[in-house]
Amino acid sequence: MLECSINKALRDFNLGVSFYCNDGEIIAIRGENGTGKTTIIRMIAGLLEPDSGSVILNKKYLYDFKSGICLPPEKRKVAYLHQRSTVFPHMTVKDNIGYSLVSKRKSSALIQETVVYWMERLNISDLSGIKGRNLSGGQQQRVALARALASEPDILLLDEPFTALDSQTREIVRSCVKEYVYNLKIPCILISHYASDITDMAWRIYDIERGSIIRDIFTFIKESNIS
Amino acid sequence: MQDRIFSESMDLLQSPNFFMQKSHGISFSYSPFIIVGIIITIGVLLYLILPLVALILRSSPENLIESLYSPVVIQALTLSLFTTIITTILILVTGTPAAYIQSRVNYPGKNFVDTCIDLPIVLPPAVAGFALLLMFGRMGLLGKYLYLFDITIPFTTTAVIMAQFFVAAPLYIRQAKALFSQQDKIFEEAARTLGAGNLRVFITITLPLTWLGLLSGAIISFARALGEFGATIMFAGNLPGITQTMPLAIYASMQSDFNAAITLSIILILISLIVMLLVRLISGGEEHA
Repeated sequence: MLECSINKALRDFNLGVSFYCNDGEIIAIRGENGTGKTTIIRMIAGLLEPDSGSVILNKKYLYDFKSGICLPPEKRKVAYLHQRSTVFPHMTVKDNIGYSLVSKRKSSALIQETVVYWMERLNISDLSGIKGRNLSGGQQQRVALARALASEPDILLLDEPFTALDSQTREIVRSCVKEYVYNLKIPCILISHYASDITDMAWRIYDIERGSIIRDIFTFIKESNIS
Repeated sequence: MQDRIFSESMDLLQSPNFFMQKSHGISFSYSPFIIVGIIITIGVLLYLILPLVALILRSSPENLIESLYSPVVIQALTLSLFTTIITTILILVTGTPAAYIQSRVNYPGKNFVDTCIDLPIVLPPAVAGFALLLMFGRMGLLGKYLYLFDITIPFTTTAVIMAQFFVAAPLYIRQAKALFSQQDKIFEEAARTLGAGNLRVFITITLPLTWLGLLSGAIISFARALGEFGATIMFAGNLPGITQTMPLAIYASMQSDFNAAITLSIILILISLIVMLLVRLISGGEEHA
């Protein structure tokens, strides 16, 4: 479970939000451009330090202003899917997906097995040896997702990750994320401009305006969608 | 730069419609402004190229081959290559982390440190050599303590390398710093969230994405170190076989062995030409990468 309560002074306004996300739940953060959605995600991932507050994931402090805790991103076990492609251009698809496992010094047999599994799961097995820079936008997003899920994160942060995907791939990817979050019982935060992504995936929606949560909408529970 | 102007003006002259050029989509015709510009360009070009032609014309192939085997040339060439390669390696090993820190870590007084690193680029080499002497000489600030341990740096091959490092390292650091600053941070951030620490991110992400630019910076530094004269003669002296690098040997043999001076000059021109071509090739490759 994620409990997040953070403040940060931005250029135009003060960001101050407080919310939670249960295990196995997908919440959506919705709002206009420039309202601080990405900033929130970056602070949870540890790429940006809040001014005050706390971020607690599974009862463990990732950030706490009072006790001065601020774990670096590599110690947080977050998977962060960016709106821009972050697939490493100089590495092959295989090496991209296995990157986090090499960081964790897993055995090469396990890395191989995990990489093959995720490539099949996201339908990118044929791209295995291709360098990141030679992939199309949609392929890159699928590789980025495979890489994120292969890292066995404690939380999944999705910042408009489906933008470059066609409708068919989008469906594959969405169901893959839902199944992953549900099966592994991890919290997941989704930012999307597409109403269809949010209604299809999110269990709750936080509406945000100029750095503050103005609404907390419970959508109907869609357990039937997860199979 | 010279060869760029050269190739552009040659393209211009060889084109069939010399007076009806299209440049960047805007057509212009025969205008006094353009004609004057072309004449000035040709003038500058001739001024830059003709002295080198004069140098090459002064020598005959027989003299060239003969003096290639003269001890002065061989000694200077070996010493120059040896010291310059060591200098370049030292610049790469120390300059890369320094540039990375300067581009990524913010601290008070960083601008001042940046200026200090850049200073040797504009400092007259003679001043650099003199300053090194006052630092490491027998009476120098640090040198007097080194002398207590029987360590003498001036007028040794080590001094040659130190002088070259002093004038050439800032060129590399400047280039590397710009590369690291311009590098898109999203790949490094992604690597961090995937569990990689700073060192692993640097080795697996930052370096592979910038190595071509770093290489071209290293080549420029190599060329600068190879041509180093002022700081070397002040700090290391002009001892054949020990501190007499190619530029110093050219200066020394101008009076005694004219052919050797010409041969050394031609070698340096060739190396400079190769360096410029390499850097152009690399920066071309970078754009298409």
